[in-house]
Amino acid sequence: MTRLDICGVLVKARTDRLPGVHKTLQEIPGVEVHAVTDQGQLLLILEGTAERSTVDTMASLFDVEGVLATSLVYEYSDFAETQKESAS
Amino acid sequence: MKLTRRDFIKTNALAATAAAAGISLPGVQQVLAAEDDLKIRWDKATCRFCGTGCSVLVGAKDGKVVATQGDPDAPVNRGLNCIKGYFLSKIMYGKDRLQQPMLRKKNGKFDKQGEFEPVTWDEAFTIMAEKWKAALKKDLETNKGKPPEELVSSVGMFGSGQWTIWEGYAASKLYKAGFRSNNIDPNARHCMASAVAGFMRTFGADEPMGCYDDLEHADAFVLWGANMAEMHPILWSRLTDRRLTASHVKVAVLSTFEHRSYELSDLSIIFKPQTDLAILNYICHYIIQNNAVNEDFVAKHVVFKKGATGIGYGLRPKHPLEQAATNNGYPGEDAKPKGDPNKADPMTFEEFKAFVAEYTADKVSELSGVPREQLEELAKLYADPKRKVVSYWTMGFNQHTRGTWVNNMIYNVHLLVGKISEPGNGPFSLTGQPSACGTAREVGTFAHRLPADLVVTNKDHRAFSEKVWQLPQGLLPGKIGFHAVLQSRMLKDGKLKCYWTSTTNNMQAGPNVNDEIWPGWRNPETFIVVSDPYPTVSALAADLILPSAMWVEKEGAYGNAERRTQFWRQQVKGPGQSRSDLWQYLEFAKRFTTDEVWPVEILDANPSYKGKTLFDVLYANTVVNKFPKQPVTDEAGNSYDNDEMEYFGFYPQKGLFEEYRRFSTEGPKKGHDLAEFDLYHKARGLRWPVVDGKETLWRYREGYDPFVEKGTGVQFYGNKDGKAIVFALPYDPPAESPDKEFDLWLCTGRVLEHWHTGSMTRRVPELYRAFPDAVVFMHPNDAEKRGLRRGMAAKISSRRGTIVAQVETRGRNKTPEGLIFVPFFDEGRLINKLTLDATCPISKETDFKKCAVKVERA
Repeated sequence: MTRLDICGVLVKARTDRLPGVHKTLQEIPGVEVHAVTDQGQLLLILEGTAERSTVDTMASLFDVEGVLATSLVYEYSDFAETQKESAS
Repeated sequence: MKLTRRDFIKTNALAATAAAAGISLPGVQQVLAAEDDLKIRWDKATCRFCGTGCSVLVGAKDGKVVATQGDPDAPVNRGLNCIKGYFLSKIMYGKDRLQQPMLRKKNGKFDKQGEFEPVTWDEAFTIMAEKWKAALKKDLETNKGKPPEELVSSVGMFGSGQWTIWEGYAASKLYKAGFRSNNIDPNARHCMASAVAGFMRTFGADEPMGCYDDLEHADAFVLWGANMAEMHPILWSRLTDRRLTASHVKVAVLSTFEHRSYELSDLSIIFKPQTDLAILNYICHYIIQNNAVNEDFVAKHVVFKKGATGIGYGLRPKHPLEQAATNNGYPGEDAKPKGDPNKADPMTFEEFKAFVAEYTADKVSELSGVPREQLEELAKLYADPKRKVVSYWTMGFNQHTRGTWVNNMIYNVHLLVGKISEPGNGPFSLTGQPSACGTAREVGTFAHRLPADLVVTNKDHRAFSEKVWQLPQGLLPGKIGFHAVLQSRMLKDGKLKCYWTSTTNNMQAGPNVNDEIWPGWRNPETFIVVSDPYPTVSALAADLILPSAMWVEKEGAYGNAERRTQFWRQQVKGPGQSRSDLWQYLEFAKRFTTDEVWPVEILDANPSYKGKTLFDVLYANTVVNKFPKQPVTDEAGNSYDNDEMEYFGFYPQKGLFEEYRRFSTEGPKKGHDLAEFDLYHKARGLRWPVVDGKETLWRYREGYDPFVEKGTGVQFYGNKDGKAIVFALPYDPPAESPDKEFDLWLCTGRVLEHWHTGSMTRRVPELYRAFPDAVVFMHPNDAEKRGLRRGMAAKISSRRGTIVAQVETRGRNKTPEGLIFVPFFDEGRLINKLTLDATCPISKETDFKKCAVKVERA
């Protein structure tokens, strides 16, 4: 019974600290970095696990040094539906 | 199948995020077919949380909201949401959602000391009506023969900037017209009443002149007591973009402690609490000394006044500070009011110049603790004629015992240099609630207001309201009702008997819970009703709890901080027997006839009103019930419920809005025009004044604002002479400062992950983990001096109460020595047991940012 908990997140970081931010974000469990721009934007997909939900992860992104802003673009989660599907 | 769907969703998430960022990812496209497979119906709605007013796309499936995404077509947020957006699809589904009314009972009857038992809506409204009627009957006797200006009332209501526009409007009508009571106030009183009073005093009209478009035009941003990075993340994201893409742009951040917004700042200023007053006067002094006054602008558009001083601190009349006050407006020993805190006398520019001359860099540096060089650098941002500046503020200014003054004083700065009402230049008060502007301010749900900037104390304004509402002349009460803090005091003193709160949680958010709020709610003489979706601290302290439908469980409208009015359709049904606040007010109005609540003289003079219910005269009045039941559909042909329309047999949201709109288009105060109801369901919001379907981005400026007369350039038409007022106001000390025993400043506030008292965001288990409990942020040296280390439990006490919280010496908030910060979201640690109920004497807004506490090992 896996819960679907998926978020698309846009992170803005100080350009002078971009490589460090990129590395730190990549190392966080449940984070996939899909694109990085010269203007300091990082495009992330977060996926929740039983131990760590996407919102925990998103809160921790904000605390990474060099991160200026984090924005959520897309969020999907449906525990009930997954339960139904697993049962069928 | 499961894997496929997961991939679909991830691809959609990636495509939406790339689109919002303007990044092209080869091979990634939003897989619309997959969405069809998922059978999600998408529609726009306004975010339920802060005052930014982001638009979100709400995905519903099988009667439940399952997904959300930032609305790519929304001018406010351009496809982005903040972390709180994560909770939007979940706030309605907390396990402890209230689903039926609950009444305190013993032996089958209401008993204030009883336990909560489920009851029917009929039983709930029956006991409520019984209590209200008893109180209103006494009011009729007390008020016999009195003119409208002297009417008093013992029933009250406390709502918020989370009321939808028509809910606030319906509540205001029920109280002001139905019950003839002005004891209705929004919790916006705790939030931006000082901004309101500041706007009204300086410009004669409420709400900002600028808009969010300033974010892309300014050359400098100054944050005064606003942590936008955490509290307004979407606006912060736009500000960040501006700073990162234009190298000349400067960001200055001022606060009493260092927070996350300092990460971006070019000028980081920490000042001692309350000294913002002195810093603002210093900036005016600097501007004048350095010949940076925009003389042409000032000559044409500004007048100068000296404000009354000695205005007190809004405390109870017997408090020594109030006895010493000379202009607090309270009754003195001769029973006459001691002056008027709002009074101001004309002065000249030269006199203003002399007034601010004492605020030298040296003096202000010493008072504020801010180095001289920093003060100068800040003043230069405003003084430089080539630099466009926007100032932002929220609670740092508003929750201030001189909140109205400090709002006036930031306008002083902008007015002296003429940096106002044009792209990239202007003072901008941010708001914390989704409809603090749209409902609390524009509908006028304050104890002193009527819609569209009208006030209860003005006979002409009352007469106009009576005309629009089709009410007997002289019906509306003209005495200002009890404001938020006064409501608590009057409940405790037994002068307010029946009290109904909704969309708010005052037992947690209000000041001085121990001494003032709790005793009033549990006073045997009072009957307290709380309407809420969840069993909040307030609900559990009430006598009757009514289960409310929330957010997209009803059709709604909010107005954001930039004057943007936005609508949404009902997406899903509320659970169990929950009902919208609108349903509750209209239905409760059926319980009263005019004969029970209005004086016989008025009914004798207007016999056609006799015997009718308040529902008949307030809502079934041929205007509110004008629009018959109709299908609700969107442009794609999807259909939606409207439970209130179904129940009442007419379209109450549309009827209420169209009646309310007359205040904006025909009222005595110009420049508030709203568009027709149907237009808002199509648009991504419109910024008023809306004239001929066109919104207004910058008010008071010719070329942008249709109400400015040709050839004048700028007209502050809220004031009769078309001019704004610069006020000479001094630095005054706070109501309570640290001393030997209570040796630290306490500042309270919010955090990124929780919204206000956490009644919605703490219902979601994931978030609860992210930031589970409130901590006390303190300087490591302060901790060490008290034998404390990070992670240890500390006892925090003021003269009014004590809580225990874990010490945090690192993290997002870095406090200076001598000051601690505690968030107020945690119902297990009610920091408002400690706060003082001192208010700005003009706006009546509490200062939650300054009181004296001590910290010890727990």
